Amino acid sequence: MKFSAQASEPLVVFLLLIAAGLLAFYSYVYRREARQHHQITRRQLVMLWSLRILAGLLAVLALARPSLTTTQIEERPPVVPLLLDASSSMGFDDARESPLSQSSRQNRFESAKTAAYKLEEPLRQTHRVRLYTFSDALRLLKELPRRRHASDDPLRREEIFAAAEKSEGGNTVARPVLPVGEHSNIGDSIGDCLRDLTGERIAGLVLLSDGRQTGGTPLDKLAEQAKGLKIPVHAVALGSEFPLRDLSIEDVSVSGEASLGDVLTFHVKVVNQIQDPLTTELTLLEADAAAVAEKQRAGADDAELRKLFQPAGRRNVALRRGQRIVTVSTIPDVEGLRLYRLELPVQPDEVNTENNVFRVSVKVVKRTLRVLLIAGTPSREYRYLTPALLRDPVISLSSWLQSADVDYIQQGNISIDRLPETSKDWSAFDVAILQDVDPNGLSVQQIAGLETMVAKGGGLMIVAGRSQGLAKLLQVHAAKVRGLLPVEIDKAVHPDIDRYYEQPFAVERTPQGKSHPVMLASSDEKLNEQIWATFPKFYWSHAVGKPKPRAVVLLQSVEGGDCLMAIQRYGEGAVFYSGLDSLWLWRYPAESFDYDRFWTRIIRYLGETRLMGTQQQASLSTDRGSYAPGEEVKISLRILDPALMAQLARQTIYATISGTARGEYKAPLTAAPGGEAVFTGTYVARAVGMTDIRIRQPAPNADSEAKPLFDVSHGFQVQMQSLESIDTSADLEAMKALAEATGGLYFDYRNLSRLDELVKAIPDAPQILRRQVVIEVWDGVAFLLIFLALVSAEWSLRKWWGLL
Amino acid sequence: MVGAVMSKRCDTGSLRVWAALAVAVALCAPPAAGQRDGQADSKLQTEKEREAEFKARLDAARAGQGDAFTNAPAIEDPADEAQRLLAMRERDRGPQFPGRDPAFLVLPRAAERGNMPDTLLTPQVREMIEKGLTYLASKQDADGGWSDTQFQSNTGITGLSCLALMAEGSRPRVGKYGRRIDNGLEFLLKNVQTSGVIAGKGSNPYGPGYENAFATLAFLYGYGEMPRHPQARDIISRSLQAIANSQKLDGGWRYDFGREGRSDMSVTATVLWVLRTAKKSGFTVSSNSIARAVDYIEKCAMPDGNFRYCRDGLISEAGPGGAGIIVLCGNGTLDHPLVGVARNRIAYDYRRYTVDDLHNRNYFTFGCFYASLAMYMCGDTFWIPWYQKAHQVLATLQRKDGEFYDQHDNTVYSTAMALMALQAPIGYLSIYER
Repeated sequence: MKFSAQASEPLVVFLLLIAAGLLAFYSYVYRREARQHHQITRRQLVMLWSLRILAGLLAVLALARPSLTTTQIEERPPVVPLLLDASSSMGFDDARESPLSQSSRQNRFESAKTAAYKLEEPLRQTHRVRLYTFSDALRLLKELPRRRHASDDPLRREEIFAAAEKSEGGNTVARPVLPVGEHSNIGDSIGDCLRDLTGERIAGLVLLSDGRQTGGTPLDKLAEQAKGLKIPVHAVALGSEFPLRDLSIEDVSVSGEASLGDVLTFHVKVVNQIQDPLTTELTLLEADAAAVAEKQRAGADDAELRKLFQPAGRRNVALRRGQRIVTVSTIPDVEGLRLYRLELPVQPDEVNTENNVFRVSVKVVKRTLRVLLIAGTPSREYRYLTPALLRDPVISLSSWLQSADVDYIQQGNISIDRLPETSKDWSAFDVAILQDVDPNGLSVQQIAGLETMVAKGGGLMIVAGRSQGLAKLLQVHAAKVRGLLPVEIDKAVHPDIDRYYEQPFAVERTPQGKSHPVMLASSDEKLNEQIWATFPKFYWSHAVGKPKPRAVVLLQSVEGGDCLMAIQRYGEGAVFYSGLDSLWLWRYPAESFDYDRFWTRIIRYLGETRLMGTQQQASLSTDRGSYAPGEEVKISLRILDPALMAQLARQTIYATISGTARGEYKAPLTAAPGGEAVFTGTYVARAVGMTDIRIRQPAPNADSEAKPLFDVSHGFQVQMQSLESIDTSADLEAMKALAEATGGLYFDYRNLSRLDELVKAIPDAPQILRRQVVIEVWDGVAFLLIFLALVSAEWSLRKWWGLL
Repeated sequence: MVGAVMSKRCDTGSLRVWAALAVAVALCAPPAAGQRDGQADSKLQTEKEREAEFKARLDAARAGQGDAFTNAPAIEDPADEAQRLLAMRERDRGPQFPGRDPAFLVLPRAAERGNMPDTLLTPQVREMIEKGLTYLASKQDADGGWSDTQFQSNTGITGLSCLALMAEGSRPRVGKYGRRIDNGLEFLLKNVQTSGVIAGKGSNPYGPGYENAFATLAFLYGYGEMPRHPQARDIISRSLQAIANSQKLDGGWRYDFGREGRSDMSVTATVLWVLRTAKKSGFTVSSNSIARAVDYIEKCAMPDGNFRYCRDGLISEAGPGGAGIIVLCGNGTLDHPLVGVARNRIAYDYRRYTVDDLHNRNYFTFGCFYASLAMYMCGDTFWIPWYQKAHQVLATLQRKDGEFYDQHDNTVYSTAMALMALQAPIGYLSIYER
């Protein structure tokens, strides 16, 4: 306890002056009364003086505001705020493995409530528990009442998680809290909570969330703030690091036009968020597009439409978690516009079953590749090559064996009795193979026609051989053949027919060859390497100079690096060179399997422009399938064929973008640095709706009427998107980082069964509150009464004694 | 050679020879059901089970459920998937005959990347092949030809030897045995008679039918890669002309190049094989000539799948069955009723008899060679079990130097034929077709 004056120093000085003034006043009064002293005794005078001085002193003392200061000590339980994420992402399913899940489809918010319910009961005995919810802003749901004794009835769950709201009638009603918030501002909410509890001892802050933040203060900054305040943030993460349990077909890539009787392959982008691995079946169904459209117009539902589809293919697939491209193939048997339906079976507890189905239409046309094989002599390659080509249902082969008898009936699906002469004759063919040809058996006009065919999109394969060699061909037809060949050949160097070739040499694919479609014995790179490693060595190859600048070398000798296979684009077409005359050696170890398919790949590659209308060696894509308006769309054009890439070198490609908004937009795509065969560009998503990107690239220096080298298109969706649904996985890493940075504990579905440890980890030391109480003693009744008594006594005495 | 020996027997008409032949055939013929002992039945049952198991595994492989001969899981490969689909479609569609000639038969492609070659080419088989090739190469004469115990500097044996070396992957002047092949073909070039027949001094005394056929065959497979010898084409033409001129009145051929006399099944089948190869190599061959020869072969066939050596002969046996199948399939009649019967007969023979039984057969390598051509054509279901049994028999016929022998101690032709059969899984000799 301590006495003190509340008055300031100037006031004290002022009071002294007042005291001096009173003394002067009293002296004046004394002189006045001295004239009447004869009326009172000295004793009476002293008494009056004493009363007056006492009253004056009391007044001055009152003005000095004397006070009495005491210290009060209070103990309060610490506060534990429970922050419950009520954003809409908490409405997604919790991890199936979570011990909080009462069922396989319990949402994260329910799990969070269960966790909070488990925590509040023991915490209320030792702490003050404040329950907050948050999404875009923090909201105090309620401060839960203390639980004084363990025998007290627990709170009901519904009671805890209900918010008081005014009904339309003005009454207050309790409504359950639902996870419907459009945002998750975790950082801001924790900051607000800390501010709200300023002055309180926060034993620990418990955050129950999926950690998926859509905005506000970054969690790392918030963690610094909490760490500075020495407040641990305990993170209870709901959900799992994986997106929602869903199996979906994101996209299907397939040629818009297919050949009747040929393989039609669908590249299906499948996203597996079910389990790792998931073994399932991708089913391909086919229907007549017109029939389906008619049924749709008649109002048929999906189940009825499904009956129109017939099975066309299926594929068993083992999917790792995440995205994967799966291919499924079929052979169309019916011409016209066909509708294909790709289906994945619905998985147990799958959140979205609509995306298990994808429909795409393909125009099926009757078309074959006309191939003309001109061979000098019936070499072993010729013997194996002919049936290999004849086996392919899309290839229509005409063979011309130069050494054959005059009256010999040439082999092939379409037997010819003479070689094509004019450009018109040659235009009937799509691909020509010159296999060690005798140049004297080909006229200048025929070579000119061949060159025209290639320049207009046809394909040419030149196979060098030991009998004739290419030098002879160059000597006879230098003008055209030199330009067509992807490699430089010395026309003075003929094959040495007297030499014995007894030393084998190994061959290897160049880096470009390893990725070239022609050289892919399997799309699985590992398997591809294994297959190539099994092929035996060669003994003979044609001598070459160097490859042409725009040619792409695909195969070379291991020692010396001699070019053995090269390819180059020529006008709209392509030319393939092989300096090996014994590719039949690749018949071992898989008989005709790899050999036949190698030739099939070459012929289809060379004839692709004719078969499909344009080159298919370009793939257009965007980084995502859907965007919100204003988001940046990253466009990628991947060139699958190195030869095509070489042809497009140093060119800017323009993508035409059209959507629901009026007009078209041209986005430039430039080649990616580092030599990767990709052109990239960006576009800002605008009007809501479907937007299409299309690239029709003409050949360099081609006139405007020329057919494009390739014509690719891709679509993406622009739609208003909730930030909450962009990523449905929980951000466990962020939650863990926040807990670790602030010294808190972290829980997720893997260790939530040990949630009790959190209660033990929160300290229950009470908050000690010391409060000083200042009592101003002058400001009391007693003081007033004393003052009034003194003044009254002095006045009464004077009255009594007749001084008034 | 077996034909030579049998011809001699037929022509002599000696009772003693007939009796011996009857005994030999009786020993070779499958025993009656009642004669089968329990051990044989049990073995047969095991073989049947093995075949059933093999078929099941093969079907599983075709269905994409696993590899045919290992437990490896099916490989997921989109490219293979597309190709497999095409192959399945082709298989359903069956063989095709592009153009207008049945010689240009195209069989459906394999649906799966099988590992038949590695399954069959075990280290033991590879060693047998290596030793055999070394032996064959070492036996080449200085003039480039090959000789045998009974046949010196023989063009037929030279042709077979060249084909055996070609089966390794070598070509004239190219490859490990390129020099040997080139020398062998040069030897053949030197032994062309004015009539066009390719036969030298060491030919069969009954006529050079086999010699000419095998030598022509070697030329046909080699001449496309013989730029040093442009005359090869003319030589083949002349040989084919000689063959055409020597077709006998009954439709077939025999050793001699005269039109009169009786034909035999073995030479006729070999000549038909040559003619078919010639057609595929750019030579014009009379369709009528082939039709008559095929008719002859059909008349040699017996309902049980065996073929008689001569059309009007009394004895039939399994040996020429392979040749019969090649002729009928080569003529584009894969569904000929005789093909299945003959094929099953061969398959039965190799299942039914023990290695020792087959080893003791006369001219086993000769029959084995033709059977290999036939069984290869019939697909893995028949080919793999047949090969696995055949190589066991051939192993018993191989000596330490690598040669295979017959009962007359001929080692070169039998080695060449055995090597062609053993190297068939490698797939480098297009006489083995699918």
